[in-house]
Amino acid sequence: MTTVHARLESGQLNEAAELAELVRRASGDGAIVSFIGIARSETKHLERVEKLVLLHHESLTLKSLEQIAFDAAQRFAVSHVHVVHRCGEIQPGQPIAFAGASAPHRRAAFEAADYLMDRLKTEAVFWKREEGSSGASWIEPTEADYADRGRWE
Amino acid sequence: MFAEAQLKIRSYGKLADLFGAECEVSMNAPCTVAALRQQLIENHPEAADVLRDKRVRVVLADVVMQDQDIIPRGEVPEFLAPVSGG
Repeated sequence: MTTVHARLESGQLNEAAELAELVRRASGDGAIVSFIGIARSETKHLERVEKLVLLHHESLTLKSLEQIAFDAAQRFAVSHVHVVHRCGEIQPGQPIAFAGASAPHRRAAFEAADYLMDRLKTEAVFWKREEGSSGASWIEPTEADYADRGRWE
Repeated sequence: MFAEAQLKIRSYGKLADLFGAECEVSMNAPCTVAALRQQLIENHPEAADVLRDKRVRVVLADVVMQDQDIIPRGEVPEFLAPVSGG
C-alpha cells in the first residue's frame, strides 16, 4: 500500500531524521531518492541574505503539501512519499524542504522526487521573502520553474 | 438587494504589503470577484499590475473563486499573491 506523509514544520527541519523515517517505511523497497532544499546565503544579485521568511496560510498551505504528495503517489510507481516543508524564519544554510520517495525500482523514485520539487516550487502555498542588508524582496517562481512544472503536464 | 457595505478582505504575500493583511473595501454587496478586484484597482492604482496578474488567486473558505463568482455578504475573501515553496 502506498503511504503519503506531508507535514508543515515550524521548528527546525531535521533532514537526517526525515530520511531515517523514510528508510524505515521503505522496508522491502529497492530505491529511495530524497531532495533537501537549502536556504541560500546570497540573493540572485549576490547580496548577502540574513534570513529567509516563509509565510504560510493557516489551512491552504498544508492542503497544498498534501495534494502535491498525494498526486506524486498516484502518478508514480512508488511505495512512500515523504514531504516536509518549513515555515517561519530560516537562516542561510538551513533546510527549507525535504522531498523523498521510495519505490521498488529507482526510476519511479527519481521521477517522484523531481515532480514533488517542481510542484512545490510553483504551487505550494507559501510566500517567500529574502531579507538582507539591502532590504527585503519577495521571491516568486522563475520562468524556468514554471517550465519545469510544465514538463509534467 | 444590493447595498453599499464594508467588505473585509485578507491579503497574503506582496499583496499584504500593499493593502495590509486585512483591510475593508466599500462595495455594493454582494458583488462579484471581478467587481471587487476592479474596486481595489481604483483604490490602489499602484497595485493594478499585481492585481491583474493571472497568478493572483482569490479564495473563499479555501476554495478558489472565478471572476464571475459572487462573494456573499459577510464573507471574507482572501487575495493570494503568487506562491512559491521549495
